[in-house]
Amino acid sequence: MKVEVAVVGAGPSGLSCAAALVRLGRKVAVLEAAEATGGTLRAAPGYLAPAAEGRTRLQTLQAAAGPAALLTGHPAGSLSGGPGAFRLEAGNRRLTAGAVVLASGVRRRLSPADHGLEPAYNLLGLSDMARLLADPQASLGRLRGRRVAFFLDVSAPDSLRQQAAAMHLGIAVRRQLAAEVLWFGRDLKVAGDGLEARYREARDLGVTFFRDAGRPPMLTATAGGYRVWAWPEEGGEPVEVAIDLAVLDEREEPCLPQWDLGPRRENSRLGHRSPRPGIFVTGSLRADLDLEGCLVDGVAAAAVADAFLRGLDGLVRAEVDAPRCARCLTCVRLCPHRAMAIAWYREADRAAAKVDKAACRGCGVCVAACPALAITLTTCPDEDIYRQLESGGRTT
Amino acid sequence: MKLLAFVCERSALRAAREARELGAWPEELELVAVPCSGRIDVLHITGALTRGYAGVLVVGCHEEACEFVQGNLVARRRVEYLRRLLEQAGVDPGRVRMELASPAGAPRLARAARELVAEISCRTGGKGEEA
Repeated sequence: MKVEVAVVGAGPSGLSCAAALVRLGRKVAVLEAAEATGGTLRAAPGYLAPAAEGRTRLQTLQAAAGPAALLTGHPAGSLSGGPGAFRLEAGNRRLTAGAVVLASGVRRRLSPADHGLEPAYNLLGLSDMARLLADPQASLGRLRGRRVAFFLDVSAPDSLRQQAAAMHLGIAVRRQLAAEVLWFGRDLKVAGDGLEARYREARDLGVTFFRDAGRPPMLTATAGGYRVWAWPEEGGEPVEVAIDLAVLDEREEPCLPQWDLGPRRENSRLGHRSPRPGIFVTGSLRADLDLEGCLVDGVAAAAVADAFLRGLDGLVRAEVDAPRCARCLTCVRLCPHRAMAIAWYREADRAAAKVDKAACRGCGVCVAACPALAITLTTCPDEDIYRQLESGGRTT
Repeated sequence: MKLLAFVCERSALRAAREARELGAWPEELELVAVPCSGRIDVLHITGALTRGYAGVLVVGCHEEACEFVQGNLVARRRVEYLRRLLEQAGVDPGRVRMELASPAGAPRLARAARELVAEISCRTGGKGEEA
């Protein structure tokens, strides 16, 4: 099978990347190791978004990525070749792809040792909790009226994704099981999509939030539960609570195929380019992103991969179509390289966003986020230059 | 005889257009616009030479004016490298030249262009040369 882009992983970022590539007119194949698409959205509904919302999101994504070849049950195997002609083995299929986008996400692993605890039946990871809540077979009924506590920022400090997950799950536990929910964390981020509203909802439902002032909460196992000491005020007296179930944050390990991706670069969290040309990285594999972040990131990776295929050259920069720009400042706020500013365009006779080409790294974040669709990644492919050469140069 | 100029869209293209409007641009010199002179590599220039162009002029921005930071310097290094190669291969290195220009530098660029055309036509006897 010959495609222009092979996307590895059919989670939210992989599907959104595939859908964006399809929109750009590329021939795409999506490889997924599991038997169905959706990644975390399917395996642990309620983790990235409230369960019902997650299901609708997944349906929309699947519909948008429909024209791409979805190869489920095909884990990515060996990779050979180079940019323009990667040869990929996936299960019993062989693929030739011009570029590869890695959207394989992270593997979540509960590590009670981080909390100074032994593994136990009443210790769960966040994704386990999400899985159990969605499983009608799981008998969570005995948690009714008990006390469930979420502990964050221990295994994975400051993870926006995990904080959002704990928020969605806390609300679900409170609603479905009528259990008392406690929330322990270093700091609460409500920067993610819709999290502010979710936080208010949780407060209204009676979820108790503990923010530790420099000292993490201490847990001790008791018969049938745990005893928690938390220090909500600096130098103050500890608060002591008995809980029945502890839900802990998990360690996240990149879920990478066994490929040689070259030496890791220092700020690999920013760009979509892996050290190996022609291979791009997106989604939770690349950075700590919530669902909305993953969807946008997939589109950005698609723009970068598309620009790469058009040019096979490093001179990829964002360009603004000045008359179309809505001057909403989205790109100015989002650009991780501070390459965007509002400037006057003499030709268009109006102000619009302008790219500082020296600062732009062609990451495509602005392309994905622009609500007016005014930004594209440009490059100047060899064919363009030779076409001009052969047609006797430009006449303008 | 025809010659070719690879011009950078940011500066040289504007200067060349202006020179053409002023009538100072030599007729023989055709333009190929690229986003940055750093985009031009050795193969593009040799490609032009093998397509029958008698000479190639690469025009970039002035130093420190390149929007892509050092595209012009990269281009200059490439042109120098190619000139050495051409010399070793027994081709006149004078057929390839690099110029720096500013968007307002139409007269200067036009003069450099006319010089190149005159020099090459002088060397080839006005007939051009197949590489």
